[in-house]
Amino acid sequence: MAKDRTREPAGSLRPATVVVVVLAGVYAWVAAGFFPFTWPMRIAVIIPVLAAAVFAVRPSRPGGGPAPARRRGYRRCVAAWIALLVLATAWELLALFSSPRDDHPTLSSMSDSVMSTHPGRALTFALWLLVGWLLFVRPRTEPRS
Amino acid sequence: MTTRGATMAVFALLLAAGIVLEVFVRRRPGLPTLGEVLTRRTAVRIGVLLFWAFVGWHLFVRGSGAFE
Repeated sequence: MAKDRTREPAGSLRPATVVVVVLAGVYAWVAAGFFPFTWPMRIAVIIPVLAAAVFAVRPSRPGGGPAPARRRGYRRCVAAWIALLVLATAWELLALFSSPRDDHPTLSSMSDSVMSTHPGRALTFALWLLVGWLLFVRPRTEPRS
Repeated sequence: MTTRGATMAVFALLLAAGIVLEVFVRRRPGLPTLGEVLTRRTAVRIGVLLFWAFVGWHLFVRGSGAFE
């Protein structure tokens, strides 16, 4: 019987995952100590981007997609995600091209206050790494039908 | 409510909607998570990779908020 690897159940943290999380935390802490516009900071960002690129170019795992009965719900769900992304992008752009910035904060201007301390900067860096790991490194699977 | 407050409230609302939708689809087999939508096709995945790389570069390499 084939094992369903679509979504791992909660609480199935493997030792390798724990090691990766600890290493990523240390990496984020060290990287957060580098100043912007310096080569150490550039390299600290480039390394995870290159690692993610290796995983991102892997071909998609073949699959049959959702079952016919679920296609409608699946498409509605994709539409909902796209609508949310479009709304978020539109709101960010509206804020970006409005002034003054204090009245129309963008996501990056809001992040400035968080990133003005080493722990806040490390946390933001760790979150950025986490997003990359979830999107590109974690094994991709087809949705269950 | 100030303009700043309204701007931040909309961002918070969109984030909350995303979290609710993600939780909803994870409880219903067959519905795609945000990650599955963004990484299903190779071309889209590479576009998302470039955007993710831009966010990292923008926040950390060219960021203005560091150690102010």
